[in-house]
Amino acid sequence: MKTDDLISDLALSARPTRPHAAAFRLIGGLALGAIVSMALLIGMFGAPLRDIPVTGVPAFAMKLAFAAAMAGIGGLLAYISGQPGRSLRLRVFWLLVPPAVIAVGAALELGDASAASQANLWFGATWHTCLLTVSLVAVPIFLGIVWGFERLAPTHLQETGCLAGVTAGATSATLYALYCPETTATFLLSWYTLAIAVAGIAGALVGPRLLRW
Amino acid sequence: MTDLESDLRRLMIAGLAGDRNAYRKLLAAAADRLRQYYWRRLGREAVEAEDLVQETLMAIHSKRESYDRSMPFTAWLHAIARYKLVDHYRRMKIKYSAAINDVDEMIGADWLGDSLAALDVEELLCELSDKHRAAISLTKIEGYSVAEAAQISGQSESAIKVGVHRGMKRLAEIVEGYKRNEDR
Repeated sequence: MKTDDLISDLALSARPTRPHAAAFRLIGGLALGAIVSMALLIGMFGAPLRDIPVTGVPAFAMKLAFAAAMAGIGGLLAYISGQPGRSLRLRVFWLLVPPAVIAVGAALELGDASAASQANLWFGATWHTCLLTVSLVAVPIFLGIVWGFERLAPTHLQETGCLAGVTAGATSATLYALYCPETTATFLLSWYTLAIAVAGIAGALVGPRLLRW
Repeated sequence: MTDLESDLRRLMIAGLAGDRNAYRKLLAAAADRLRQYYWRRLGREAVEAEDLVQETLMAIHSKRESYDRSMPFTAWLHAIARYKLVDHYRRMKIKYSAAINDVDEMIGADWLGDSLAALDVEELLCELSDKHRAAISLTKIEGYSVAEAAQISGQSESAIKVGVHRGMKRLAEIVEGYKRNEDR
């Protein structure tokens, strides 16, 4: 086919596009994945929010805010990295802000605790459930995000894959926070962050395969 | 540069809003720029340059919503062109790495070498334009003289000479390119 003919064909098939259509698509993919993940969690653990009377509202709000902030920052960075010609540069460091805030809380908790109870703060009673559930439940969200990238054009697939993974992991952690019985910032710093990092690494590994265009 | 940038951006924004005329102008202008871009990197004789131009135009179209209207358009276009070029190199590497490994191992094993070398040469020749390919295969492989090759192919004698010269240069570039890709 001649290039000029191709140009004519493409111009004829061009429909008006809505501004930010790509962003809506990405958010839609994330939401679809999150719905599937929430259904999975309900299947595994039953109704959410039952542990709030035990943990208290502040601890619950802290977990939810941390995970949601990570998801928001990760999603924004993934969106930027899906636009050709834009680079993240120092913006990646936004991802360190929520853990830094939580680290301050963790330092205060650890300073008050005796040596024996410090290990308790780090590991809580449910670290293995947290790590496993957050990583697994991130998978449908990750696939939803990949679907949401249809209209975006990432040019650094590993970077974008990693950010998609972080976003999926953090969204998964947000949903898991509705069930999590832990109450400390120290637990949040170690296990939530680790689970999100695991999702990010997995995303970087599969990104180049799934996000090619 | 700034003028080109603002012109293209205006056309792109109009095209995104549904103005087909503006969009056609934008694609035509983009095609010119892309052709320059791929010629500079693959050589003017490269047949794959025009394929890449078309592939990139289709990508521009299908990914047009990834363009943020508040961002520079040429940076967006350049990033897509570069991505498609890298993608092209990656595909070529997969296709040719086997052939190049064979060449390396072959130095010494000559009974097998002849047939493998013939395969490699044939694959490499596909990278050339029809005229250059004809010039090289007639004179260097089939063993005709320049005058005979000119007669057979219907090209002038000087065209055959130029074709052999440029074609060989291009082949050397291609092989160098793959080796460099391999090393990376």
